[in-house]
Amino acid sequence: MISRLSYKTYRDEELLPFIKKGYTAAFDELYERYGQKLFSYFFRMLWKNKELAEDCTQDIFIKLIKHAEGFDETRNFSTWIYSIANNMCKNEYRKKEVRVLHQQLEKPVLAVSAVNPDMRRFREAVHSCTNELPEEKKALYILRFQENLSVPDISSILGIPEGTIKSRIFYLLKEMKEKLRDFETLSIYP
Amino acid sequence: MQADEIIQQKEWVELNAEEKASLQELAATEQEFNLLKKMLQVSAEENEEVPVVSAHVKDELHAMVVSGKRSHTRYWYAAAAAILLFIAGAIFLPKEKHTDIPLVKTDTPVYDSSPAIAGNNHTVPDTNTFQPQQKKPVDKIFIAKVLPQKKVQQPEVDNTDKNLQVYASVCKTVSDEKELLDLVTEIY
Repeated sequence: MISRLSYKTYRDEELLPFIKKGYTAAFDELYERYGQKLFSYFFRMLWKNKELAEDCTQDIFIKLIKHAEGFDETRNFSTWIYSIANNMCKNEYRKKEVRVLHQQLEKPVLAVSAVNPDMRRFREAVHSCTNELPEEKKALYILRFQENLSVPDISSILGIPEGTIKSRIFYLLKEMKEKLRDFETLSIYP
Repeated sequence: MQADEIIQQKEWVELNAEEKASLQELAATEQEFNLLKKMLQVSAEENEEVPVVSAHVKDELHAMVVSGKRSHTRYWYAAAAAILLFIAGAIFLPKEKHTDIPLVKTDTPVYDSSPAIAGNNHTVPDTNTFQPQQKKPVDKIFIAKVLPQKKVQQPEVDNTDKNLQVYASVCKTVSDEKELLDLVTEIY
């Protein structure tokens, strides 16, 4: 049995044929790289619902195992898997049940680490703003500011030209700034 | 550099004129700049608030990968078994002996060995040998109606042919024909 360590040097794309053949070590390596990342993406996109995020994470890896040969080798694996994740989120948004759930989970669960009351309020406001964003803007916000992906990668994931992505990021920041304008004068700065 | 990258990586005092100009619409003042900077920091910190994905997710996926491998090996085993069976069958199974059917027709009737069709007598009809017809019992006797015979018209005989025939019957010897006799004597 080949250990996971031996797959460390393999690129994501190179791991897929091994996964298709049933090499668990190759799967472990890929899961190590993307399992938590994809879960985080689903968790933030799907209103911080842990169970739903876990289900989606499982589903996306099942698709990966079953249809590993369907991967377009000209594409970057990372952007490919995120584009699948993004489409899955779109499907979840379309489901009626999730819309109801959205209303129930609208208030975000915040960390209690923020000691400063102003800072805590500011955090709550940021969470609230991001949660209220429409689906496409939310995906863009998460991919850019939380997953720290580059503009070309986001362009590939969302299937939107790079220029459009740049301008959308600009206007998204502007919109967020307007919503958080009340906090300009508060003592939230270090 | 993108506007958001400038905000994340630099402080207000570090901005040059060009960068400030590019951020003019987004963050014209230091307060606005710092507000956006803090917002991006809070967003980035949100990663830490995301729980860890449960271990059962990985376990179930792991089992699926293993089962996929098993199913693949099962196909290979099945294919190998099928090949072995085919080889064994080709070697060990007794072959059916076919009787030689002569290509030349003979008087002996050839019997068809193919599976019988219900009601068939299984013999190939022999056209060379004489097959006496069996008289079938007659249920009814039909009397044929006798019709008067019609006169058959004889074709007209050519008169010249008739004259020649008469002529030939009369002229029995060469001496009877004077011209012919003269010709023969002249030759000799």
